[in-house]
Amino acid sequence: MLSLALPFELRSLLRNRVGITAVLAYIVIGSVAIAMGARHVSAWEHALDEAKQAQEASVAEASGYFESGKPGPEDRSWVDLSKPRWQNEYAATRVVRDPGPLAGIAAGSIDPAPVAFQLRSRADPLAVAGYRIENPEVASGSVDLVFVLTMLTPLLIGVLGLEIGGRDREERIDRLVIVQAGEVRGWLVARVVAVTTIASTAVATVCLAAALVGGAGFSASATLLGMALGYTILWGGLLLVVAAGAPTVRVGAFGFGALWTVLCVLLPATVAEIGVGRTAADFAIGETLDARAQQWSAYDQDAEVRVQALYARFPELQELPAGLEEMLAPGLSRHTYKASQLERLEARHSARLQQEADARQFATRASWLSPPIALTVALERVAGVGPEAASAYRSHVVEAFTDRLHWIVVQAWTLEPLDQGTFEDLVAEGPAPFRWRPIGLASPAAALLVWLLAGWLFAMFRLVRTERRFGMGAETSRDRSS
Amino acid sequence: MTSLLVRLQLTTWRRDPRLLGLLTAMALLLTLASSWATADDVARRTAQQQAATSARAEWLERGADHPHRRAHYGDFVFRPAGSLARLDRGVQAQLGKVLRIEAHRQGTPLFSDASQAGTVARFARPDAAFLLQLVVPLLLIFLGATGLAADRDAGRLKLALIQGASARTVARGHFLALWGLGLSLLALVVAASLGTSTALDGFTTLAWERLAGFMLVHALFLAIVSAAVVAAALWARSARSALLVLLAIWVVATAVLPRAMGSTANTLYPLPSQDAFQAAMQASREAGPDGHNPEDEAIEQRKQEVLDEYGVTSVKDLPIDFGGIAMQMDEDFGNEVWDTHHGELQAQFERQGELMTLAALVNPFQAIDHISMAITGTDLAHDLDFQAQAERYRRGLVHALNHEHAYGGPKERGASWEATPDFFAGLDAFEYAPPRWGAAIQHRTKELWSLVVWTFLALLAIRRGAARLERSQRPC
Repeated sequence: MLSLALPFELRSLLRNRVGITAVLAYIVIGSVAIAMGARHVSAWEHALDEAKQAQEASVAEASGYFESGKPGPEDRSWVDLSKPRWQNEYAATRVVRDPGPLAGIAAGSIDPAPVAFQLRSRADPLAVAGYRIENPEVASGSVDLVFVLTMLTPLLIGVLGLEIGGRDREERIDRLVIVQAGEVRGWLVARVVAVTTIASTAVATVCLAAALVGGAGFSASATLLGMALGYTILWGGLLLVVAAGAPTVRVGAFGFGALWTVLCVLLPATVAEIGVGRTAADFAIGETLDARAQQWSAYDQDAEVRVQALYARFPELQELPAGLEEMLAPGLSRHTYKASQLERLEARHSARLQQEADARQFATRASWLSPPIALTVALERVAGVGPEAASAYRSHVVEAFTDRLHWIVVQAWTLEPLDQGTFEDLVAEGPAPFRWRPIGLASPAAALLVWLLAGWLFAMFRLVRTERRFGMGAETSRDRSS
Repeated sequence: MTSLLVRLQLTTWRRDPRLLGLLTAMALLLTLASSWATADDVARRTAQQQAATSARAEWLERGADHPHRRAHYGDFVFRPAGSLARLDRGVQAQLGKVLRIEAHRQGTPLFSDASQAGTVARFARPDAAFLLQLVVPLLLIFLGATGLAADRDAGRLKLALIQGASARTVARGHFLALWGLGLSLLALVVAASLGTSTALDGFTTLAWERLAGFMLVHALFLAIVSAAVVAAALWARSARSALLVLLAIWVVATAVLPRAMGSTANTLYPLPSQDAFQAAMQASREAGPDGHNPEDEAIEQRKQEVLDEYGVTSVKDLPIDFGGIAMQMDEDFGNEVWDTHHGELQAQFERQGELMTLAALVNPFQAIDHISMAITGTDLAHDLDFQAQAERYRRGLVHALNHEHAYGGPKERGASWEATPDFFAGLDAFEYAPPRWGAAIQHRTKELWSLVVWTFLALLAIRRGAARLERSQRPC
């Protein structure tokens, strides 16, 4: 049957202006989305370049002071590059986040973390906005490949296969097929498979183009292609579900339109309502008012209490020259706040991680409810753009920040003036760039697979039932009226 | 005759169990979504007020303090919900909810709903406006395309014309039936919201004039949709082609065009990255006075002027604290830098907005979205207004603290001098006053006019389609 249906559908496509326009429009919009994604990655890389240049300028300035034997700039007499605090300031270390090869496909995602974070001793890794400044009225309408694949692929299948089943019954082609082949379901399945194959070709074209533009490796490309093709086949199954019972083209169109509206618009919207609604009344009191109260209460603490807290956190300090002295050396007092600073940061980070884990779990569960959600979750995880990648990067920054504060305190407790060698080591031994590794793909992939199997099985069941009920072809509107 | 045709159409919908089921489901969906969004809005407002009260309590509890120390202690401003956010949340989910108020720096609002909610925030939320602007038109398309065009396909239209009804009357009947249905759903949405408001907060936060505006523009929009559906049914060769054309228009107008225009706006008028923006600000600030740097040239010059003014030779002989003056110099320069850079950013926002307005002129779905957000107080203009008011508050607060730093207290005060709790209690807390709705809608007049023009064009298309039908230029 397929050998008959595929040339038939291809011929129909070539004769059908709407169909051919839909395929071309899909590829054009897909190409635009890829171009937008490439632009997003380019802007990301540009931001990294700017961060790198700023860091290099700062290091060069510090090297100039070392070489001229000055402790720092002339108009800032308190700056002293022999002190760890100022070495860190001038090292201007950035924790950078490299874009993955498929970062462009999810350019429209909400990504609330920067792409480079400077390890300043008084910085707050949790109180930073995303790297993009966005016009919210424009940002909520970006074309990216995730949108094209999740929302437009089903429409492409719908446009190409709208008449399957309904037209066959309206024009009694099904009767003709039954006379020649004994059953009609093989013909309908073959037509849907043919349409799905044509749509899959368009989908594969844009996915491979995206992989090529991003320079993705085999594994990433195969994951993208597998997910996208699986989703296309899934919608082929849903088209067959509709085609199996559509007595007319109009009913078929109505059924498929309703299915698309429910799965692609209403269910994701409902999930968004519940997911976003959980945070709408959360004004981050823990991260703002409470954190400030704790910060300022630390300033009011007795110095001895702060020192003990610092030693409890970094016991090795007690073995260093400053730790062996009875009185805290002058200039070290400012570092005694760091224990409470890190404690607050960790508490807030832990609360944030819990909130993000809840959001991640909610998105994973919602994947089972609607295939577009499953594909969106999966593609964001493949791309390394979006709230989950932002969360992982933030954890990486917090770790680097903690290490850096530890370095500052240890160097300060040695009571030795630091030299250019120490500075160069500090610059050279910066934290590794953050690179997202796709995780958590199993659950959305399983959800897509279950939807795919369920869709096709239900469609086959419906086809068999329709044929059994009416003996031969399914009931048509003309049958009903007669 | 028209009322008879309207009644006939309503009866047809009522008698078809599938359509009746669909209409019932839609009515339930609208009621649920509107009530849910209203309850969500009430909860948000309560939480916002609690947060603001807590911030004020913390401010007062600190008691006596050095003014500059208090300027670094700062304040937090919590973004209030839009005046009518319970009907249209607009871009609210993308906006940061908390803004840090502090000396020397202008913060970025953080903790947006979208940043906290994870991947699902990528999808639109179903508030009343979402349903009225996207889902109700879809319903009207299905009903309209299977109404008049189906009548024609089945020969019922021909029968009506033979019996003496003019094609214009038939078209008017179908249009009024569709529009009436749309208006009923609009009324249902508003009634559900008002009912929930009554139960939860007793209308205390409801902006009636904005509500009237919301209803009026949505009524106009639904008239455009109803008229366009009837016109398409009149002009199309069959019910199927009418349905296909209308569905294609709906997909392009609601999903593709707004996104394509958004991407175009970002390409033509790119915004700087957050890092680049902050770095540019930092570079500009470094060229000016630094209030914390006693060796700063500009500060030194001002110090000399103040010493001359008071006729003394040393800062310690001054009857005031020069530190407060230095801090205000730093602040004034920082404000200029902010105005320049933020002004450029805002100008770029406006350029993007103008492009989106142009797109809205040809796309009524975008036009109604823009107008609705402006009326409900949830668009970018309201966000910028909020940020401007918060910045004015920051400047006023820091100025008052710097003034107290410089001129408050006794002449012979030491470094440990602190201003009294009464002084801090006398500084007003931030209160956001949304712009009057007339002012809010003023920058959306183009979109408003476009809706009026679209209504006229759609009605004209019905009139001409009906005339063609009557002249038998179309099959009937």
